[in-house]
Amino acid sequence: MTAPTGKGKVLVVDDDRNMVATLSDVLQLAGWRTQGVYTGGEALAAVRWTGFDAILMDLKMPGMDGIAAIEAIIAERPEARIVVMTALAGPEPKQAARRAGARYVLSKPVEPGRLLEVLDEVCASPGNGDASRA
Amino acid sequence: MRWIRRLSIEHKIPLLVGVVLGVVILALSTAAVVETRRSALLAASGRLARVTQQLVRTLETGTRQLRAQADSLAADTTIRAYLRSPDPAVLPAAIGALTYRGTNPSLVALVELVDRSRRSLVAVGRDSARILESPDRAAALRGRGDSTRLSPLVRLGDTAAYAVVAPVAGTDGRRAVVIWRYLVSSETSRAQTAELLGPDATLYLGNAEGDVWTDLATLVLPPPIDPANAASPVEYHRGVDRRLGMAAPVPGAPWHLLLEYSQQAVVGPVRSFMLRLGVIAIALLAIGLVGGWLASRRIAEPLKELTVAAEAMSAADYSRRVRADREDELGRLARVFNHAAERIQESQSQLEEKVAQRTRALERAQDELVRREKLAVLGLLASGLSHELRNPLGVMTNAVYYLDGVLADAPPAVKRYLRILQEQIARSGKIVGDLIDFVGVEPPQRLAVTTKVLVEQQLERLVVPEHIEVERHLPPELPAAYVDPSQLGQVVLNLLTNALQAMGDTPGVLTVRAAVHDRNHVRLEVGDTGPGIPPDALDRIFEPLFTTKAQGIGLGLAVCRTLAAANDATISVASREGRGATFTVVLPVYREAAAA
Repeated sequence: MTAPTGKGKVLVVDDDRNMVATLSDVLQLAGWRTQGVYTGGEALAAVRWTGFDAILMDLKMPGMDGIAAIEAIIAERPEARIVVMTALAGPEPKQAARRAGARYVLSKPVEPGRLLEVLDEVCASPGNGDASRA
Repeated sequence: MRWIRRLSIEHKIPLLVGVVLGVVILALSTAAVVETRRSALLAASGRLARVTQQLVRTLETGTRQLRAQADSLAADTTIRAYLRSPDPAVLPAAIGALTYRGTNPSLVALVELVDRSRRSLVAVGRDSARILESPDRAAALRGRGDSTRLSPLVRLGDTAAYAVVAPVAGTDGRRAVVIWRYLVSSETSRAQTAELLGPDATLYLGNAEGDVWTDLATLVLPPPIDPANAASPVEYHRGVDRRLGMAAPVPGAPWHLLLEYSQQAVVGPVRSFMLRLGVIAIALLAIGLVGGWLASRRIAEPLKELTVAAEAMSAADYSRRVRADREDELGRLARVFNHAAERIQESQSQLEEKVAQRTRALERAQDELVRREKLAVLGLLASGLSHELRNPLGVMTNAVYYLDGVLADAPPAVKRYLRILQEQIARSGKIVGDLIDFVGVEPPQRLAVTTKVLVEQQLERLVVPEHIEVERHLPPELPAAYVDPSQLGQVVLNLLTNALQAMGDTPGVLTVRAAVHDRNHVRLEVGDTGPGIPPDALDRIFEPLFTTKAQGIGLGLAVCRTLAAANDATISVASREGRGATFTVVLPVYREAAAA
């Protein structure tokens, strides 16, 4: 697959491997480069090593969950552009994600077109988008 | 006697009346019969004594005549001449003189002349041989011969006979004329006697010694009493018959007469009196019993009615009333009973009404509790289920999106299937969304929004089939509602979708109407011309998991109500089967103060 260049790099974090795979494919189709991880811990490790233009984060995961991962990431990289995608119902987890530092909170199932719009919008704002640096 | 206590009043009173009447009738009848019998016997005795006296006098006259007859014969010169010189030449003249020429010659058996030793000198008459050879002859002729006398009765064949012995004058009693007579009454004298005595009396004559007795026809058995002791009426048995009899000596003869009445003849009238009395007694008893029964019925019927009604009351039937048309104590009792029954029924029905009210309230509370429990369970289920479904749905969405992107040159069939996949995933997403909304997790973001905008936004999202006509009555000047546009929009969309689904492929009209409801509310109505909702479904149509559709899990209207309630709005439905359905949403009106 030849991905169009020019867009940044996105970290996809979800314990559902199929979700990671399909999201990555959709993003790559739109020109993003992607890296997929399956836990909060892996996400933190990935962020330490690599710069990302945006991070797509699930909330409910085994081990370190989404909220904890967001807090840890923001603690190390306050400018991180984090977009949360959650299947959890109710306003509480969304509010918690925003407080932790998420730029956007989307409810699953997310329409892929809408996700791409959000990513474009998020990346247009200032952040630690130093993927080119990496 | 326990059976008497168990007996109904209806039978007790006639029984009592019957017993009392029976005793009274029996006592009176006995007294009447005894008294009647006594007076009948008394009357008979009086009559017996009178008749006996009369008979004695008649017989006295009779014997005197007999003696005179004999005396005149004894004084006959021809006979005396013959006795002086018993010359055979004079004999025919003497026989002529001795020949009886008086009345009833058949009663005279023989006339004879006898000497001192009672040997017969001359005998003239039919039955000379029988008399002269009779062993009783000598006994009859024995006795002093100085006066005319009647002999005791002798048997002569089966009849009684006697002799009248008259001494011939001038013979110093050595010669006598003897006239033998049968003691038999002639037909005429018998008729006379019967007339005198009455048909039920019998006259007997007999020797005082009691050896020969006759009823003036034939010889009879001597009476069972001593005639000498029967100078006043006595009762005795002759054979099996009871008799009332009285005896008296016959003057001028050594005989007694005995006059007898059969007791039966004397008390016969008493018997028929008793018979009539019996008939009257039975009639009286019957009248008494019937009267008693009627009277007891008059008393027992109302009592029975009361008893039945009271029994019904004790079995919780308070509707029974009894007739209260009488003015006596029973009537008062019936009225009191009816009054009491009415009051009991009243308080009973009040009590029942109260119980029913409480029961209804309890049932409502119970229903509400069940509904909430159902909702709570459903909430848990919904959030768990939606989370679990949202991930795979997301994955599928991504996959389809990706395939659509990379298969730009794919055959139309593949494109069509991708479209179908997209639609089905969207539909699944809608169900999951409904579940989430139903759980009510999103707090409303309320704004001022007009009903016109609310409806038209949703109508734009719908594809209305060509056979459905849409009628809009959405006045723009209506006050704005104060609701979350997206939540109420979802409610409206749901109602519109339901309306279209209800009409299906049949041509129809979808009516959307907004109006002022009251000072603080506007009203939005969504009506269809579909088949309507069955009455039993109307109550439950807003319940979660209740559905009349083949597709769907029955959350649409439940979500509508939850969302409406979250925005202080209410939703209701009116429908008649076959005449469509109309859903009404009443929305709070926007106020400056309410928004603040």
